[in-house]
Amino acid sequence: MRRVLTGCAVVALLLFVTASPAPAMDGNQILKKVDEVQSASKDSVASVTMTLVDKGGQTKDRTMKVWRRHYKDKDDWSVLKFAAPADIRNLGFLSLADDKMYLYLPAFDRVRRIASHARKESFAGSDLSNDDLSTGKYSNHYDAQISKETDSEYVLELKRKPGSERIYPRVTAWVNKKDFTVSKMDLYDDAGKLWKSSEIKNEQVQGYWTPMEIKMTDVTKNHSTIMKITKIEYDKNLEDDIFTERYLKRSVKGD
Amino acid sequence: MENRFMRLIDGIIRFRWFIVALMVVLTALSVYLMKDLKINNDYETWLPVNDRVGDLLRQIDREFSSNTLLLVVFDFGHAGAFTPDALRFMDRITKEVQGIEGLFQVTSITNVLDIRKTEDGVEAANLIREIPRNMMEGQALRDYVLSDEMYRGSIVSADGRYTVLAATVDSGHDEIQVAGKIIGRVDELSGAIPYYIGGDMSIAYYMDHYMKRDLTVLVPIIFVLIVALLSYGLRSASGVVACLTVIGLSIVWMVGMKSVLGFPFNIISPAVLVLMMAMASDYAVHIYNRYQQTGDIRTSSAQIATPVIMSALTTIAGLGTFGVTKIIVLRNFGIELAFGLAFACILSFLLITLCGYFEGASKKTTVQKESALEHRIDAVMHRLGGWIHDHARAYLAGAVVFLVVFAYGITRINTSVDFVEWMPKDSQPRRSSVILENDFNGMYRVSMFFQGDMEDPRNMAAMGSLGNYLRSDHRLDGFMSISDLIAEENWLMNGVYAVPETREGIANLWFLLEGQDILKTFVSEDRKQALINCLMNDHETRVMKEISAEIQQYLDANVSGELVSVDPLKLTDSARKTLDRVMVRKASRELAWLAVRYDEPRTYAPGIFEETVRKGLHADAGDIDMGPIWRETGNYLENEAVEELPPGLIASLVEGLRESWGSRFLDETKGRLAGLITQGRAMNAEDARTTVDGMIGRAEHAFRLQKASHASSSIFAGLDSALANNEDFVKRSGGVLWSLFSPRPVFFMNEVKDIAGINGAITETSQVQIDQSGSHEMFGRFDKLLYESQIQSFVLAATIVLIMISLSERSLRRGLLALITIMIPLGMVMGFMGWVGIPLDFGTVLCGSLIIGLGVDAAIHFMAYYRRLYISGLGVRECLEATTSHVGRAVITANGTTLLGFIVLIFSQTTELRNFAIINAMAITMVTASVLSVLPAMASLVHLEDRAWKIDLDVAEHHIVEEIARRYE
Repeated sequence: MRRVLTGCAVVALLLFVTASPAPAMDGNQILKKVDEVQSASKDSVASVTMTLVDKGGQTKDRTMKVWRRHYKDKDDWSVLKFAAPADIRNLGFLSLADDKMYLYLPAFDRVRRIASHARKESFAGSDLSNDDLSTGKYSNHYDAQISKETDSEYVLELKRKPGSERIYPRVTAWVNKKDFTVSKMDLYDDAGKLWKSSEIKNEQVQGYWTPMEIKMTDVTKNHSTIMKITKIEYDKNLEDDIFTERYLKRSVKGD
Repeated sequence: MENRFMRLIDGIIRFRWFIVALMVVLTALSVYLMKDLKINNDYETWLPVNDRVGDLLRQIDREFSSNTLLLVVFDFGHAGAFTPDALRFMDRITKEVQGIEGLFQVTSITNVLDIRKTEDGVEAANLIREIPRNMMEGQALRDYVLSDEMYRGSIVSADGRYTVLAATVDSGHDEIQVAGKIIGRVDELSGAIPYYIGGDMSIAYYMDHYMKRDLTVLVPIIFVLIVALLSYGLRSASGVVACLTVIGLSIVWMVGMKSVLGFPFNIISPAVLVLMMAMASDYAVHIYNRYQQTGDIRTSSAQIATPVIMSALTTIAGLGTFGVTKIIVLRNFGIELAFGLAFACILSFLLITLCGYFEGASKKTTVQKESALEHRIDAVMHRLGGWIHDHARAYLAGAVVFLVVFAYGITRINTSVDFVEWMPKDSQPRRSSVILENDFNGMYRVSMFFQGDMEDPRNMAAMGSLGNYLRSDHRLDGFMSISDLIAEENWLMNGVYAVPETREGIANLWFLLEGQDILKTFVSEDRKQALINCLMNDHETRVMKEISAEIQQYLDANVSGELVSVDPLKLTDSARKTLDRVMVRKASRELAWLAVRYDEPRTYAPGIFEETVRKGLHADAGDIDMGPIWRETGNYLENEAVEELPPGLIASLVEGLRESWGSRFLDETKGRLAGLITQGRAMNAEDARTTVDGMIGRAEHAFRLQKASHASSSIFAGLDSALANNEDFVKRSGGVLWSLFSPRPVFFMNEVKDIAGINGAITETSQVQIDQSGSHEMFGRFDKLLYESQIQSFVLAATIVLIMISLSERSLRRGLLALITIMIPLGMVMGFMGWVGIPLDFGTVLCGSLIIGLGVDAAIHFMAYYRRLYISGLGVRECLEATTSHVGRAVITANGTTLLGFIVLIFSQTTELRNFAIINAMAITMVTASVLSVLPAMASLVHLEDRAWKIDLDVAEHHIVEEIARRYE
C-alpha cells in the first residue's frame, strides 16, 4: 500500500530501518535497503486522498482505500478502491505479482485485465501512470549507482535493467542515509528528458516509515498530483481473498 | 480663405524652428513607439469583439486551442507509411515536436489514441505500442489502421502513402514562432522525405512570410520609382528631397500611430506602405509645383491650400469609412492610411513652406519651361475637351451603355475569404491543401460546442445523436468527440455502440480515458464544455456557407436547451403511443443519416426505416430467441459472482430468473432468488443480493442486445447487402436501436412537449447549449461582413464626399456631378470583377471607398478650375478645352503616381494584394478617364456653374485666364 502511495510505483522507496548505513554500501545495496523499508510491515490498510492540480491551479479530489500485502522476497499485492467521487465509487484496481493488474468497473459489473501496453497510461487522470501502481521491487528492475553523497543523503542513479518493462529508463532518487526513506525522485523518459518529479514527506507510523504525502509533477504538462494518507494501519493480517478479482466487486465500506 | 491661409503660412515661417524641433521630437517619438509593434496574421482575431461567431471562436480557442492547428503531411511514396523505417521516423519526429515549448497537443500515427479490445477487456493507449520489426508486422498494422474510420483519412491517407502530424499551440503562446520552430525541426529531420505544411496555423505563418517578402521587395521598388518620378516631375533636388522627406516622415508617424492605436502589421500592410509612398507625395508635389510657378512660397502655399486640403479630406473621408467595418484588418487599413495621408498633408505644408522659405533666400525664380511631353499632353487634352463638348450626348450615351453592360457583372461577383487561395500556387499551404482535401478529410475544422454537464448521460446522448446527423454530410469527416470514444469503449466492452445511460457508466468508461492527452482538445478539464470536432474536405466559401446554414437549420429545428429522460410507463396509453411515434421517428432519422453516410451516393429517407423500427420497438420476449440471455446469465454466475457458486445453484438461479422474467425488477423476485443463494449457504445475505442484482443486470443487458439485434435483422434485410454488411454501419445503427429500447429514453424537451402528461413522466432533466463553430462559421462570417463592409463603406464614402463637395462648392448639383463622375467607372470596374471572376475579398473590398476618396480629388480640381475660367467670362467650350488641358495633365500626373503604386503591388506574392492592385489600378485609370471625359460631357449639358457666386481671382489666375482668353481670340 505504501508503495501505491509513494507514487504508486513511483517507487515509494521508503525504509523503516533506522540503523546507520554500512560504510561500504554500493548503489544496489542501498536500493535493496530501500525496498526493504517499503516492505517492512506484513500488510497495511490506508485511506488516501488524491488531489489533481491542473496548470491553472484548479483542483479535483478523489479518495480511495488501499489494502496492501508486503513480501520480502517477491512482488507485493495491492487492492485499491475509490470511495469518492460518487460516480466512480467502488471502481477498483488489483495489482498482483508479475505485473498482473486488473480493473473493476462497477457500473458494468465487469473486471478487466490491464494490458502491459497500458502501463504508460495515466492512472485516474493523475500524474501517476499505471506502471506507478505496480508492486514490483525496485531492485528487481533497476541497477543503482551512487552519483552523489552528502552527510545526510545518497543520490542514486537508477538504470533500468535489460528486459524490465518499467516505463522509466532512468530514475534519480534521493535516499536518506539514516532511515533509507526517499525524499525525492526524478523520472526520465525514453529520450532522456525529465518527465516527472516527485517529492515525498515521510513519517513513522506504528514504527514503520510511511510516505504520508507525495507530490508528483509531470513537468511536461505542468500538472501535479498530491497523494496524502489520511489514515493507515499496519499488520492487520489481511486475508488472501482480499487480493482477488471477486473481492474487487465488493462495495467499499466507509471512507 | 486665401488670406487665412496666408496668415497660417506666415505662422509656419515665424515659428519655423519650433516646428522643426516639434517634427524632430514627433519623429523620434514615433520611432520609439515602433518597438511595441506586432505582427498579427492570425485571422480569427480579425473578427470583431462582441461578435457572436468571433467570440465563440475565441472562447473555444482559449479552452481547446482549436484554432491553431498545424498539419505536417509526410509523403512516404509507394512504400507507404507502415514500414518500420517510416514509423521509426514518425515516432522520432513526434517526440521531437512534442519537445517544442508552447505546444498544446501533438498527434501522429505513433501516439494517436487507440481503444482496442484485448483478451480480457479493453485498453486505451497509443495506436502504436511498439514499432513493427518487419514488413509483415507493418502490413498487419496497416490493415488494422486503415480498417478504422477513426484513423483512415484522419491520420493516414486511405492508400497508406501519406501520414500526418497534427500540432496545436497552447493559447497564450506566439503561434507563428511555435509554427516556425516546428517547421524548422521538420525540415531538419525529414531528410529526403517530402513534407507539406498545412492547417490554419500554417496559413498565418506563411502570411507572415509573404508579408515580409512583399515589404522587402515592393517597398524598395516603389521607392526607386517615386524618386525617378519626382526627379522628372520637379526637376529640383531640393523639391525631391522635400517630397521624400514628407513621404518618409508621414510613414514614420503613421507607423508610430499604429503602435499607439495597437494596430499590428498584417498581410495588408505592404499595401498601406506602398500606397503611402505613392500617395503621400501628391500634396507636396502640388504645393511645390505651385511654388515653382509663382516663385513665392507664401502666395503659392496659400493659393493651393484649399484644393489640397479638400483633396486630402475627401481621400481621408473615403478611407475613414472603413472605420465602421467590423473586419478589424480592413478597419485598421482605412484608419492607418487615413492618418498617414493626414500626416502627409500637414507635413507637405510645413516642409514645403519651410523648404521654399529657406530656398527663397538664395533663389528667387524657378519657373520651369514645359517639356515636349507635357506640351503634347496639353495639346491632346485640349483637343479632347473640345471634342467632348461637341459630342457630349453621344459620349454620355456610350458611357451609359458601357456602364449597363459592365454593371450587370456586379450580380456575378462572388466572395472569397479562403486564405489558402491568397498564397502562391507553389506555396506549402496550397500544396498541402490539395493533399489534405484529396487524401485526407480536409484541413478546416467544424466544431459543435456543447456547454453543460458532459458527464450527464442525456447530454452525452445528444452529442452522439448530433454526431450521427453530421455524418450524413459527406463533406464532413474525421469526427472526434468524447461521446464517440465512450461509445467505442462501450462497444468493445459491452457490445453496444452507445453512451451508457447512467452517470456512473459514463464516469467508469471516462475513467479509462483519463490522462489521454488528446482529450483536452475536445473536453474541458471540468467537463462542462466539449466539442464534436470534424474536418471539412472543401475550402470554397460557398460550401462553407452552405454547411453553416444547414447545421444551423438543424439546430434551430431540433435542439432546445433542456434534455429530459422519460418513463413511458407513467404515460397514458394514448400518450405512450404518441411517444412511441416520436421515438420511432427519431431512430429512423438517425438510421437514415447513417445509411447515407455509409452508402454514398445513395439517399435514404427516414420513412423507409419507420415501419421496421416500429415493429422492433414492440417486440418482446416471445418474439426473440432468449437462449443467449440464459447463457450470459449462467456465465455471469459461474465466473463473476463475488463468491464461487456450485453448478446446481447456478442452474436453479437461471431457471428461477426464466420463470419470473416478467417480474424480474420486483423486490419480491430478487428476494426469492437471493434466498436460493443464502439457503445453500454459498454467501451471506448482502453478497447474495449483490449477486442477484448483478445477474439481473447482466440478463437485462443481454435481453436488450437481443432486441436490438432482432430489430437490426429486420432492418438490414431490406437494405443493400454492402450497407448491411458495413461494419461501421452495423455498429452505429446497433447503437441507435439500443437507445430505442431504453427504459428511460432521452429527448430534447421540444420534441415531446406536446405529449399529454409528459411533465409527470419526466424522471430527470439536464441543460445543454449547443452552438456550431469552426472555420466554416468564421469564413461565413467574414463573407457576410465583407458584403456589409463593402456596402457600408461605399454608401458612407459616397455620402460624405457628396456632402463635402456640395458644401465646399456650395452646390448640390456639382456635388452630384462629381459623384456620378466617380460612380460610373466604379460601376464598370465592379462589373468587370463579376465578368472575369475576380472575387470580392479582403483586397478588392477596399476598392470602392478608396477610389471614391482618391478619384473625387480630380473632379474637385476640374470643377474648381472650370469655375474660375467660367466666371472670368469664357464660353463653355473654351472653359472645357482649357480645363481639360490644364487639369488633365495634373490629374494624370497625380493619379499616375497612385497608379504606379498599384502596379507595383501587382507583383505581390499574395493573390489578395494582386487582386487589390489590379482592381484599383483599373479603377483609378477609369476614374481619371471619367473625370476628363464624362465630367466635361456633363458640364456641356448641365449648367455646371452659377455665375451669381462671386469669386475673387488672384493675380496669377487672372494671368492664366487672360492667357487663355487670348488663345481663343
